Amino acid sequence: MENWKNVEPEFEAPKVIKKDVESSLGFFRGAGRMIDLYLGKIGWLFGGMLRGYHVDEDPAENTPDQGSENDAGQYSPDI
Amino acid sequence: MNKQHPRTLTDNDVIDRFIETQSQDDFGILYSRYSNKVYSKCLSLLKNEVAAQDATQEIFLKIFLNLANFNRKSRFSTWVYSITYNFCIDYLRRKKKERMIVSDDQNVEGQDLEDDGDDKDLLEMEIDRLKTVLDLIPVEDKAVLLMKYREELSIREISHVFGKTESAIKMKIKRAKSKTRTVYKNLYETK
Repeated sequence: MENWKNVEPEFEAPKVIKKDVESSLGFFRGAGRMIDLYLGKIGWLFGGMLRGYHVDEDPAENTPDQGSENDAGQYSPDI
Repeated sequence: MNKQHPRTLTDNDVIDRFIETQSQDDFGILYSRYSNKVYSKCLSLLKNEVAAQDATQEIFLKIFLNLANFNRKSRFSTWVYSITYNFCIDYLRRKKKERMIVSDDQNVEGQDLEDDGDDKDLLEMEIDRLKTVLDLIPVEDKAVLLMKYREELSIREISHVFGKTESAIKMKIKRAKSKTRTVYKNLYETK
Protein backbone atom coordinates (compact mmCIF):
# COMPACT_ATOMS: atom_id res chain seq x y z
CA MET A 1 0.00 0.00 0.00
CA GLU A 2 2.94 2.33 0.69
CA ASN A 3 3.84 2.56 -3.00
CA TRP A 4 0.32 3.86 -3.73
CA LYS A 5 0.77 6.56 -1.07
CA ASN A 6 3.87 7.79 -2.89
CA VAL A 7 2.73 7.33 -6.45
CA GLU A 8 1.27 10.84 -6.63
CA PRO A 9 3.61 13.21 -4.76
CA GLU A 10 2.19 16.39 -3.29
CA PHE A 11 3.46 19.61 -4.87
CA GLU A 12 3.23 23.08 -3.43
CA ALA A 13 0.64 25.18 -5.23
CA PRO A 14 2.20 28.33 -6.77
CA LYS A 15 1.60 31.41 -4.57
CA VAL A 16 0.08 33.35 -7.46
CA ILE A 17 -3.01 31.10 -7.43
CA LYS A 18 -4.05 32.31 -3.97
CA LYS A 19 -3.81 35.96 -4.99
CA ASP A 20 -5.80 35.32 -8.17
CA VAL A 21 -8.54 33.47 -6.27
CA GLU A 22 -8.71 36.24 -3.66
CA SER A 23 -9.04 38.98 -6.26
CA SER A 24 -11.65 37.01 -8.24
CA LEU A 25 -13.65 36.41 -5.06
CA GLY A 26 -13.42 40.13 -4.30
CA PHE A 27 -14.73 40.89 -7.79
CA PHE A 28 -17.65 38.48 -7.41
CA ARG A 29 -18.50 39.90 -3.98
CA GLY A 30 -18.43 43.43 -5.42
CA ALA A 31 -20.63 42.36 -8.33
CA GLY A 32 -22.98 40.64 -5.88
CA ARG A 33 -23.30 43.83 -3.85
CA MET A 34 -24.01 45.84 -7.01
CA ILE A 35 -26.74 43.38 -7.98
CA ASP A 36 -28.21 43.55 -4.46
CA LEU A 37 -28.16 47.31 -4.66
CA TYR A 38 -29.75 47.26 -8.11
CA LEU A 39 -32.46 44.82 -7.04
CA GLY A 40 -33.02 46.92 -3.93
CA LYS A 41 -33.51 50.01 -6.09
CA ILE A 42 -35.98 48.17 -8.34
CA GLY A 43 -37.80 46.90 -5.26
CA TRP A 44 -37.95 50.43 -3.86
CA LEU A 45 -39.21 51.77 -7.20
CA PHE A 46 -41.94 49.14 -7.50
CA GLY A 47 -42.84 49.61 -3.86
CA GLY A 48 -43.20 53.34 -4.47
CA MET A 49 -45.32 52.77 -7.56
CA LEU A 50 -47.59 50.37 -5.69
CA ARG A 51 -47.97 52.85 -2.85
CA GLY A 52 -48.93 55.50 -5.44
CA TYR A 53 -51.75 53.32 -6.72
CA HIS A 54 -52.88 52.30 -3.27
CA VAL A 55 -56.62 52.69 -2.63
CA ASP A 56 -57.96 52.50 0.89
CA GLU A 57 -60.23 49.57 1.49
CA ASP A 58 -62.74 51.64 3.48
CA PRO A 59 -64.35 53.98 0.92
CA ALA A 60 -66.22 55.86 3.63
CA GLU A 61 -63.00 57.42 4.77
CA ASN A 62 -62.34 58.74 1.28
CA THR A 63 -65.72 60.27 0.59
CA PRO A 64 -66.34 63.79 1.74
CA ASP A 65 -68.71 64.05 4.64
CA GLN A 66 -72.06 64.88 3.17
CA GLY A 67 -74.20 64.73 6.30
CA SER A 68 -76.45 61.97 7.62
CA GLU A 69 -80.02 61.05 8.11
CA ASN A 70 -81.61 61.62 11.52
CA ASP A 71 -83.81 59.11 13.35
CA ALA A 72 -86.89 60.37 11.55
CA GLY A 73 -85.28 59.73 8.22
CA GLN A 74 -84.86 63.42 7.52
CA TYR A 75 -81.67 64.70 6.09
CA SER A 76 -79.69 67.09 8.23
CA PRO A 77 -76.31 68.41 7.37
CA ASP A 78 -73.59 67.82 9.95
CA ILE A 79 -72.08 70.95 11.33
CA MET B 1 -18.02 33.72 17.02
CA ASN B 2 -15.58 30.83 17.30
CA LYS B 3 -12.14 32.07 18.37
CA GLN B 4 -10.34 28.73 18.65
CA HIS B 5 -6.88 28.26 17.21
CA PRO B 6 -7.21 27.50 13.47
CA ARG B 7 -5.59 24.09 13.89
CA THR B 8 -8.28 22.93 16.31
CA LEU B 9 -11.12 24.03 14.04
CA THR B 10 -12.79 21.43 11.86
CA ASP B 11 -13.42 22.20 8.20
CA ASN B 12 -17.11 22.64 8.98
CA ASP B 13 -16.33 25.19 11.74
CA VAL B 14 -14.23 27.24 9.33
CA ILE B 15 -16.89 26.98 6.60
CA ASP B 16 -19.60 28.22 8.99
CA ARG B 17 -17.42 31.16 9.99
CA PHE B 18 -16.52 31.98 6.40
CA ILE B 19 -20.17 31.94 5.31
CA GLU B 20 -21.02 34.26 8.20
CA THR B 21 -18.13 36.71 7.97
CA GLN B 22 -16.51 36.19 4.53
CA SER B 23 -13.22 36.83 6.33
CA GLN B 24 -9.88 36.52 4.56
CA ASP B 25 -8.50 34.54 7.53
CA ASP B 26 -11.03 31.74 7.10
CA PHE B 27 -10.46 31.75 3.36
CA GLY B 28 -6.74 31.40 4.13
CA ILE B 29 -7.27 28.46 6.50
CA LEU B 30 -9.32 26.44 4.01
CA TYR B 31 -7.02 27.40 1.15
CA SER B 32 -3.88 26.34 2.99
CA ARG B 33 -5.45 22.99 3.98
CA TYR B 34 -6.40 22.02 0.43
CA SER B 35 -4.41 24.04 -2.12
CA ASN B 36 -1.48 21.62 -2.41
CA LYS B 37 -3.78 18.62 -2.61
CA VAL B 38 -5.93 20.19 -5.34
CA TYR B 39 -2.94 21.45 -7.31
CA SER B 40 -1.17 18.07 -7.12
CA LYS B 41 -4.31 16.25 -8.22
CA CYS B 42 -4.74 18.64 -11.17
CA LEU B 43 -1.10 18.19 -12.11
CA SER B 44 -1.45 14.41 -11.93
CA LEU B 45 -4.58 14.32 -14.08
CA LEU B 46 -3.83 17.13 -16.55
CA LYS B 47 -0.06 16.62 -16.81
CA ASN B 48 0.52 20.28 -17.56
CA GLU B 49 1.70 22.89 -15.05
CA VAL B 50 -0.06 25.88 -16.61
CA ALA B 51 -3.33 23.96 -17.02
CA ALA B 52 -3.04 22.68 -13.44
CA GLN B 53 -2.50 26.23 -12.17
CA ASP B 54 -5.52 27.59 -14.08
CA ALA B 55 -7.62 24.61 -13.00
CA THR B 56 -6.67 25.05 -9.32
CA GLN B 57 -7.69 28.71 -9.49
CA GLU B 58 -11.06 27.92 -11.05
CA ILE B 59 -11.69 25.01 -8.69
CA PHE B 60 -11.10 27.18 -5.62
CA LEU B 61 -13.33 29.88 -7.02
CA LYS B 62 -16.03 27.25 -7.53
CA ILE B 63 -15.51 25.93 -4.01
CA PHE B 64 -15.76 29.33 -2.30
CA LEU B 65 -18.66 30.60 -4.41
CA ASN B 66 -20.62 27.40 -3.69
CA LEU B 67 -19.61 26.92 -0.07
CA ALA B 68 -23.13 27.72 1.15
CA ASN B 69 -24.41 24.82 -0.98
CA PHE B 70 -22.10 22.26 0.65
CA ASN B 71 -24.68 19.97 2.27
CA ARG B 72 -22.34 18.23 4.80
CA LYS B 73 -23.58 14.78 3.71
CA SER B 74 -19.98 13.89 2.88
CA ARG B 75 -16.67 15.10 4.27
CA PHE B 76 -15.52 18.48 2.98
CA SER B 77 -12.39 16.81 1.59
CA THR B 78 -14.57 14.44 -0.48
CA TRP B 79 -16.58 17.41 -1.79
CA VAL B 80 -13.36 19.23 -2.75
CA TYR B 81 -12.06 16.03 -4.36
CA SER B 82 -15.30 15.67 -6.28
CA ILE B 83 -15.13 19.22 -7.68
CA THR B 84 -11.46 18.77 -8.56
CA TYR B 85 -11.94 15.44 -10.27
CA ASN B 86 -15.02 16.55 -12.25
CA PHE B 87 -13.36 19.79 -13.31
CA CYS B 88 -10.30 17.93 -14.62
CA ILE B 89 -12.40 15.35 -16.47
CA ASP B 90 -14.50 18.12 -18.07
CA TYR B 91 -11.30 19.93 -19.04
CA LEU B 92 -9.89 16.80 -20.68
CA ARG B 93 -13.17 16.16 -22.46
CA ARG B 94 -13.18 19.70 -23.79
CA LYS B 95 -9.66 19.30 -25.00
CA LYS B 96 -10.52 15.91 -26.47
CA LYS B 97 -7.22 14.53 -25.33
CA GLU B 98 -8.80 11.53 -23.78
CA ARG B 99 -11.32 9.09 -25.17
CA MET B 100 -13.77 8.68 -22.37
CA ILE B 101 -15.39 5.39 -21.54
CA VAL B 102 -19.16 5.17 -21.99
CA SER B 103 -21.06 5.34 -18.72
CA ASP B 104 -20.46 2.33 -16.54
CA ASP B 105 -24.02 2.59 -15.27
CA GLN B 106 -25.10 0.78 -18.42
CA ASN B 107 -25.19 -3.00 -18.51
CA VAL B 108 -24.07 -3.32 -14.94
CA GLU B 109 -26.97 -5.57 -14.06
CA GLY B 110 -26.20 -9.22 -14.32
CA GLN B 111 -22.47 -8.69 -14.38
CA ASP B 112 -20.23 -9.97 -11.66
CA LEU B 113 -19.73 -6.91 -9.48
CA GLU B 114 -17.84 -8.63 -6.75
CA ASP B 115 -14.24 -7.62 -6.43
CA ASP B 116 -11.83 -10.50 -6.78
CA GLY B 117 -10.43 -9.30 -3.45
CA ASP B 118 -6.86 -10.21 -4.35
CA ASP B 119 -5.05 -6.91 -4.69
CA LYS B 120 -1.65 -8.23 -3.62
CA ASP B 121 -0.07 -7.85 -7.05
CA LEU B 122 -1.37 -4.27 -7.40
CA LEU B 123 -0.32 -3.28 -3.91
CA GLU B 124 3.16 -4.67 -4.37
CA MET B 125 3.92 -3.13 -7.75
CA GLU B 126 7.25 -1.32 -7.76
CA ILE B 127 6.57 2.42 -7.57
CA ASP B 128 8.18 3.53 -10.85
CA ARG B 129 6.38 0.77 -12.73
CA LEU B 130 3.14 1.66 -11.00
CA LYS B 131 3.53 5.33 -12.05
CA THR B 132 4.18 4.28 -15.64
CA VAL B 133 1.21 1.92 -15.73
CA LEU B 134 -1.15 4.49 -14.18
CA ASP B 135 -0.13 7.02 -16.82
CA LEU B 136 -1.03 4.55 -19.57
CA ILE B 137 -4.54 3.64 -18.45
CA PRO B 138 -7.54 6.01 -19.03
CA VAL B 139 -7.61 8.92 -16.62
CA GLU B 140 -10.94 7.84 -15.06
CA ASP B 141 -9.46 4.45 -14.22
CA LYS B 142 -6.35 6.06 -12.78
CA ALA B 143 -8.49 8.40 -10.67
CA VAL B 144 -10.72 5.64 -9.29
CA LEU B 145 -7.73 3.48 -8.34
CA LEU B 146 -6.01 6.43 -6.64
CA MET B 147 -9.20 7.17 -4.70
CA LYS B 148 -9.36 3.57 -3.53
CA TYR B 149 -5.71 2.82 -2.79
CA ARG B 150 -4.10 6.23 -2.20
CA GLU B 151 -6.85 8.29 -0.60
CA GLU B 152 -8.49 5.15 0.85
CA LEU B 153 -11.99 6.46 0.15
CA SER B 154 -14.89 4.09 0.71
CA ILE B 155 -17.01 2.85 -2.20
CA ARG B 156 -19.79 5.15 -0.96
CA GLU B 157 -17.46 8.17 -1.00
CA ILE B 158 -16.17 7.32 -4.47
CA SER B 159 -19.76 7.00 -5.67
CA HIS B 160 -20.39 10.56 -4.39
CA VAL B 161 -17.35 11.84 -6.28
CA PHE B 162 -18.40 10.21 -9.57
CA GLY B 163 -22.12 10.75 -9.03
CA LYS B 164 -22.75 7.07 -9.77
CA THR B 165 -24.20 4.11 -7.94
CA GLU B 166 -22.06 1.97 -5.66
CA SER B 167 -22.57 -0.98 -8.04
CA ALA B 168 -21.25 1.08 -10.94
CA ILE B 169 -18.22 2.07 -8.88
CA LYS B 170 -17.47 -1.56 -7.96
CA MET B 171 -17.62 -2.42 -11.64
CA LYS B 172 -15.43 0.55 -12.55
CA ILE B 173 -12.79 -0.47 -9.98
CA LYS B 174 -12.83 -4.04 -11.21
CA ARG B 175 -12.31 -2.92 -14.82
CA ALA B 176 -9.61 -0.43 -13.83
CA LYS B 177 -7.71 -3.14 -11.97
CA SER B 178 -8.02 -5.45 -14.94
CA LYS B 179 -6.64 -2.76 -17.31
CA THR B 180 -3.79 -2.00 -14.91
CA ARG B 181 -2.81 -5.67 -14.80
CA THR B 182 -3.01 -5.97 -18.58
CA VAL B 183 -0.81 -2.92 -19.18
CA TYR B 184 1.65 -4.13 -16.54
CA LYS B 185 1.88 -7.57 -18.15
CA ASN B 186 2.36 -6.07 -21.61
CA LEU B 187 5.11 -3.80 -20.37
CA TYR B 188 7.01 -5.93 -17.92
CA GLU B 189 6.09 -9.58 -18.29
CA THR B 190 6.37 -10.12 -22.05
CA LYS B 191 9.65 -10.62 -23.81
